[in-house]
Amino acid sequence: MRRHELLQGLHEVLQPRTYFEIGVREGYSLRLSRVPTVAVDPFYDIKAEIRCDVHLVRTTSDEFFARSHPFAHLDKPFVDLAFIDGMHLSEFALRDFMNTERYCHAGSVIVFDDMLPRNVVEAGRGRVGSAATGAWAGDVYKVIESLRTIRPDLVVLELDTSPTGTLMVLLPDPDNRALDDAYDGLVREYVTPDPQVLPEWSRTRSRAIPAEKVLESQVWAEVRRRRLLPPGPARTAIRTAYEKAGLATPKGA
Amino acid sequence: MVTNPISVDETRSLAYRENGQVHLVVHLTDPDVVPGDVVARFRHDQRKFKKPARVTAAEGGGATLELSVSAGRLGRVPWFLAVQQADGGPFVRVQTRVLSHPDLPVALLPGPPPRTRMPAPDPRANPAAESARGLLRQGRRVAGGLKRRLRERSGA
Repeated sequence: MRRHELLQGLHEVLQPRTYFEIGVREGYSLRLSRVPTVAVDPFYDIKAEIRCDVHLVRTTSDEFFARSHPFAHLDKPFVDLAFIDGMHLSEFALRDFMNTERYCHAGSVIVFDDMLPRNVVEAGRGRVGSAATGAWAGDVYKVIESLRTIRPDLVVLELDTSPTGTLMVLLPDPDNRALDDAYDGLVREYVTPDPQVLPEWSRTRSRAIPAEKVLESQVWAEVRRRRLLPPGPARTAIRTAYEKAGLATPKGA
Repeated sequence: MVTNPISVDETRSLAYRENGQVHLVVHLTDPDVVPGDVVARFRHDQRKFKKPARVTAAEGGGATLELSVSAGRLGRVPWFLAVQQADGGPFVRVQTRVLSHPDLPVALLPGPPPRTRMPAPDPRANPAAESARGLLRQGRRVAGGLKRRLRERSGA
């Protein structure tokens, strides 16, 4: 399954009330939204037709979040579905996640693109060699281990999508500050010269699950119902629903 | 001496906070940047300040600019960075900006800033809030009219 098919499927099963996107480029993922949307890209160059109520923001994601009311376009500032496909460097992707999560709730779904590079060239921080003109994921895959270690409360699922894999994060918590405390240490670990050490689980996708399996799950109707509850009961109910559906961070990951 | 904007390799640059300071490690790719002590200038609109900084030769080519600045001094806005390599020489733009909003992780923003031809549009008016404001205005008008009439009657 290609990443845009996954996104389209998520729009169908999750039925998000709002959509947020970082990294618009030509608009091929933005065109899937039919709900109030905020989309950020400093250099968007849209080639697709867009059919939604959108605030298209021409700035960097960091500057977007530094605004007083970044989601003023939405009736209420919350994000049901987010797609992070901005700068292909781990520290940028981690910041995008941290900043997006502040506007999420337990039933929100956050998807990262380019999380499972298939070789060292694709995983480089610099876009060189065959990655200069072909697929390039960068080193955003490093965020996976950080999320699993620092935020065990999240459900972190690697999905086997083409070309460069995706990551789905469930049960975001806007009040959790563990990553804020860890960020300054993580950024010093992330910024290392190429070539990067590509983990075997990325190369082989040994931990990734088929995206079809996630989309076919019966859990989404439950998530849609439970996200209307107050935050505490919603979190408990949605966590239980994911557990029953077998959507859990893989053991030993 | 370098006079054109100095390009930055974002893959080898970072910003982080420690003990109330923002530390910048910026990899400069311009081959003409000379290692040594320099003065860094931060600028946002009309606000400017300077800090001492150091440029060292980097492994694999280029140079590394390192400096620290109090996080509180950066506020909530992005700052352009420039360096002066010699006393009395020009400040030359470094193609990166730093944003250290106190509620967000610190960010180094590489490359030229995005430009738009017009300012960002205001958000649409919230119909519920607008109608509440309208009701409030109407209520104030009615109350003002009543007060006026009462005053007129008591004066009459």
